[in-house]
Amino acid sequence: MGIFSEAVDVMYSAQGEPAQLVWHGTVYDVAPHPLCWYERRPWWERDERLPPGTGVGAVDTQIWRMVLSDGGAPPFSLDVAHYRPAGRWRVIKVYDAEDSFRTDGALDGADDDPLEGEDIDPLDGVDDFCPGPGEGLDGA
Amino acid sequence: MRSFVHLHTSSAFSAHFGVSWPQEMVEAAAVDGDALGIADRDGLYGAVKHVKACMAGGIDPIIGVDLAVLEEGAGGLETAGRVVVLAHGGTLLPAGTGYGALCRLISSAHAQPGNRVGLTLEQLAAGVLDSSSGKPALTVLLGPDSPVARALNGNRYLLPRTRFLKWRAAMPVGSMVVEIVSHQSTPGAPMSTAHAVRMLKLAQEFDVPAVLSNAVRYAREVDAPTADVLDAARNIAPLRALDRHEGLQRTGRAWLKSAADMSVVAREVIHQGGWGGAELRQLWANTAQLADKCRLDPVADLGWKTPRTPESQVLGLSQPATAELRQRTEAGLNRRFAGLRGEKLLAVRHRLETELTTISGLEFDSYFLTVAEVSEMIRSMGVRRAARGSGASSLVNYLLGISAVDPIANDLLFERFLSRDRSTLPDIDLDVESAERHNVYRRIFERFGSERVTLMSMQNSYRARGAVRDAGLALGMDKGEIDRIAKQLWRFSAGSFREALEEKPELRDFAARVRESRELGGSHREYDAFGTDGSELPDGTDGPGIHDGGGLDGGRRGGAQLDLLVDLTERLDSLPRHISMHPCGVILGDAALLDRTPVQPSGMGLPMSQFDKHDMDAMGMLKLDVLGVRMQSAMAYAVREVIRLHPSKEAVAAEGGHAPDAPFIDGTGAIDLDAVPLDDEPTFELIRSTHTLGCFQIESPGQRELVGKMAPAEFNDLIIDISLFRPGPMQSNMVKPFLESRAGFAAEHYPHPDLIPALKETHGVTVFHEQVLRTFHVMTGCTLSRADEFRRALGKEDLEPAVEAYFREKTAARGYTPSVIDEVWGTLKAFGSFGFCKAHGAAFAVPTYQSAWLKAHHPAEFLAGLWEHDPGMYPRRLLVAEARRLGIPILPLDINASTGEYRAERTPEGTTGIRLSLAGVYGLSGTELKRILAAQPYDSLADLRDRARLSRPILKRLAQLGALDSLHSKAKELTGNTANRADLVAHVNSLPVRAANKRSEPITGQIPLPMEDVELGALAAEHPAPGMAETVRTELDLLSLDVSEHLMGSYAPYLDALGVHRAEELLGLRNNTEVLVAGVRIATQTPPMRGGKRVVFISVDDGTGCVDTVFFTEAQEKSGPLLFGTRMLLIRGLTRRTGPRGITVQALEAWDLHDTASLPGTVEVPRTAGIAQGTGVAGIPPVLVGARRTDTIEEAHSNPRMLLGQGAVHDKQGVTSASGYTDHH
Repeated sequence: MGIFSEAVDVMYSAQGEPAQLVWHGTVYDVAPHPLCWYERRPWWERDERLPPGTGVGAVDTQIWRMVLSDGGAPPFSLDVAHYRPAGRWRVIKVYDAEDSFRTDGALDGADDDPLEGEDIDPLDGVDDFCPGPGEGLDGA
Repeated sequence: MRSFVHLHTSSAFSAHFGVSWPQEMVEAAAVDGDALGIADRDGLYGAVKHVKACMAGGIDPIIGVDLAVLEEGAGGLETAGRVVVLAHGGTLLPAGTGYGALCRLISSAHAQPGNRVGLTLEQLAAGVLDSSSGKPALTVLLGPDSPVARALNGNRYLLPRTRFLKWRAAMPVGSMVVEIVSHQSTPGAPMSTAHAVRMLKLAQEFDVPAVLSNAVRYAREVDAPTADVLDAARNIAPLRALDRHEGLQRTGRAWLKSAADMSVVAREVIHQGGWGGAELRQLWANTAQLADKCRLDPVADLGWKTPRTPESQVLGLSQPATAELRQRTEAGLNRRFAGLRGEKLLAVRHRLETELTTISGLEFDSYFLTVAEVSEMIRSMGVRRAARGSGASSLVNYLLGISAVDPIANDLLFERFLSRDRSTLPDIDLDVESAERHNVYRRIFERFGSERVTLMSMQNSYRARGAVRDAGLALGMDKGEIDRIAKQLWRFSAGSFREALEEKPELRDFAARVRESRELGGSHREYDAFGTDGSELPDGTDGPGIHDGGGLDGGRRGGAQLDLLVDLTERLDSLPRHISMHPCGVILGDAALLDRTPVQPSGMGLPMSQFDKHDMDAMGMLKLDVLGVRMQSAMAYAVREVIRLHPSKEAVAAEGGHAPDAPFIDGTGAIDLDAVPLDDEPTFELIRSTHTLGCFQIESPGQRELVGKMAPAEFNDLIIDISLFRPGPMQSNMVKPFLESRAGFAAEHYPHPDLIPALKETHGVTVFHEQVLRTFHVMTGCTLSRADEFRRALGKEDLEPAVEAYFREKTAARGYTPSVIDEVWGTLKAFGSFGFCKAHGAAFAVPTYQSAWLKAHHPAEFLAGLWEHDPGMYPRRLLVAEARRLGIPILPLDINASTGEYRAERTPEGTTGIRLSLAGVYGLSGTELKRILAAQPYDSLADLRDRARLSRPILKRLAQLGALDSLHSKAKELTGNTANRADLVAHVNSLPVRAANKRSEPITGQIPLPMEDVELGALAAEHPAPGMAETVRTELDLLSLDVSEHLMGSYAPYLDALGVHRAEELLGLRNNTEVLVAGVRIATQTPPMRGGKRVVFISVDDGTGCVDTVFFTEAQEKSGPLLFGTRMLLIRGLTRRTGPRGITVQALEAWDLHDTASLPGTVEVPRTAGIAQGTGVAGIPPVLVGARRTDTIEEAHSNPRMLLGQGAVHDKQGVTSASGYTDHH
């Protein structure tokens, strides 16, 4: 696992999901249904202006977790931030191949049996692959 | 993309939560939806506006509420979450059932003990059923903030299931669905897709239908930051403290998404849950199905525009309302017009017939009877009342006793008030004594039953000052700094803050700081820039997840946020903040009123509707304005004081200079003000003297100037005076030609002889709406009611062209020449839209005349009334000067002679003075006051201590103010002691803090022995007596009055050295003399001006009178921040003569009298000058002493006192006149 902050280029599929990613000159295919969410950003510390009628990308940053392959090496995952409104992409976290976790369809096979003795939803596996909100950047 | 209906939308009327207006939401929804649901927080605050917007946008309205759920916790009922409740339409149940159930449900949510708002699960379960059919009338949406969804946090398994089962068991079958929402937050966090998946799984597991929503808070994505600021305002905490906590939205994804965007959200949920197309279709179909069930028909479900009045049995009618109204007005006709015969009587009868036909045609008969009932009820309570507004135009109102103005004699047109061409309900306004207003409300509730009556509410919105405060709070700025900025904001909307920075001189300093901070901000720029574009990320500090601003080097310091502050302030512009009781609106309906509006407790305890005045007409609600008028209280008080001092008809007549047999005084000495003849010469003499301070409507600087010039001689002159004194006439320069023609300097001009009858009373100048109506009527031949429709269209861009075309065509056809047509149309176009309704003027003129009459005949009692009820635009301290001018002694505070009121009192010299009230003493509590009054009189200091049981600080204040001097001097007389007030204060101050000692209290009923005050008789005389300056400072601090001497007194040597002119000297100066004037600010106004340039009017008081000054652009530039913030001013300017008795000063430059370094000249400012800063020993906020500030006209209208024209409305417009006819520009 490593921490990065590098610009990349992303191409969309017809469905509006990232389909290909160019990093260090290599074109990777993105596995279907990458996970997408939004993280808050402290705009009141960062932005100098926020006049009415502006503000896309001020409150939150779009994050994609993609599984990449270039046909050769084993697939690996990374988190990419998409900064709006400028539309720039940056890699914010790279997972080593051995950081095994379920990505796409992670919830499919979730078993609804409760763990014995604890009121813990088996779906909490979700959290295993979710970084803490600050992880991946704090140490930079 | 298929259409999608948003069922859960919180509008801007969800205070401190929603961002967008209903019409913005509807516009967004109408793009690909055919209905929209509103669900404001805890009420239907935006519902009627939502329905209006939906009707305009051609989509179906759905109405619901986002309601708190309460659960029994450790400290009683606690909020456990929120659910949405939607009303069903009339497809399965009788129309109105669902909406009625929703109203009652919301009302019950506001009737919880301990001011909690919300419902328990049991209450909710009971409330969703229609009581008559037993079927569900409402659907509850168990969404992401419900107690069930909240249990998902921490990945618990059993708790959410237990809770879900509890809900499913409690809610009646078919009354609950699960609301699936994803704001795409961090996976596993609330509002994440993962949570949505779990909710959907629960719905499947327990076989409850699920619907999709976006829990919308704003119409557009760009509005998301505004929601953050509202979150901070709601939680009263800076954003950085809220971050990662419950209070802040998880992401900025709560906008009204398109059907396509919603489909993306739905697919994500379905995909992550491992479901497929069938589940997706089901979710989508469920949503559409619930939407269909909840579509409302405004007319059938809400009773749109269908008026409902109290039932006839409630009004005690034994015959149909039409017949009753006819019978009562007939009786009124015989009473009011007893002497009328022949043609004149026929004309009156004809008028009555027209009015009755119109009223019954509109089915408003019972409305008039209801108002008459209320009016009569108030009269029988012995409370002064007067009809105000266009209601005075109606003969029916006059005959029913609602209005005291004779519409025939005053030539008022019924069509201005009501006509068949108008579908809106008429407004009849009743003014009552302000002190009795709440009692009147309570009696109305008793009389008609609480199921038929509720108070109206009003929305209080963000204006510039409030917006900048909350924006500053969100940014975590220093409170003191924000306060200083807020104080400089004057009369502009928050939305134009940035524009104001460029233009307004008083914001110059702030604007410079904003620029400065922008330059400072440059150092942040390299990395700030990636904030939204990610272009540079040298240290990787932006991006997701950096939340704790505290230790961040990028955290802004000091002024660096000012630019952002301006933007956020603009974003908050005019958003609703909270509702409160409207100053006068009372809603009267039938027994089903509470099925049509939810109610909640008002500040005074009586229930108030969640609807405001804009909702009344749409909901067919009859609103009666019962307005508390301080002047009515002041006049009633004055009349009572007259009787108290002169308890017989003879004594009152002698004192007031009335004829011994004056019919308006009864045997007890009671004066019936409404019976006073309207032609009293001393009253008009007083008005013409311009010493009208304290008189209703005519006390402002501008009005004093106008009455001086106009010299009113009869009642109709007062009507014209009041009507001229409005923004419209002022801006259209109507005043000057009117005055010139009236004075005979200019010939009266009429565009055409046909218009002479209509315009004669105002010398050819169009002043009244009634004259506009007659002009249309005479020149086009249209009916007067049609003419009123034309008048209403004037000034409206979309409607006016049609009126102009009609006018030109008809007048040309009737043979008027093009030049006449052009001239008349020009007049109509210019004044028609904002001229004044003569009926308003006539209704206002009555209390104006009555107050002037009291001032002319019973000045001391009248001033006592003013002091007691404080109705005017000026601070009370200005009345001290007026009393001095009138030779009315101000009697000092005295522990035995003073009461809790400002009373008129006979002096040993045989004059009538005014005794200061103990109620005016700073910090004296109501209980202490009661104790003092209960045990009066006192014969010694010890007696006072023992029986009134006052705290030491209060005792000290009383001593400082001289209230104990009478006890002291009595003791001194007996002993020859020479101690002074300072010795007394020192002694009181040295007394031990009073312990609550029951034993020292005298036994009730025991007569205290009269004995010598040993204590005061033996005071050591060791302190110097307080000087005048110190005494005045004490008075200002503790009474907010400068009684012993004017507070400018101590400046006299300095002002004399500078050659400053006093107010009383100005009238003797030539026009255009350069002068220095000085004084305490008493009024500041910025009326709207022709040409849009701002003019600031500042009046200062220097102890000899008021100086009215006017600041034009250049002087504003020179004075900058002094314009609004400074209280003691030195002003250089040029005299401008405005009439035989009027003079103003056109300011050139101003200084702060306290800023000694900046002042011209080298004379040292006296040491005592600090007294006026109001930050003296007792810490009284300066505002107590300072001028009553009035902001904008809009603010004036939201302020009950201003509505009366007692504050800003008249004085602001008043000063308009200063420029309106002194030709300053």
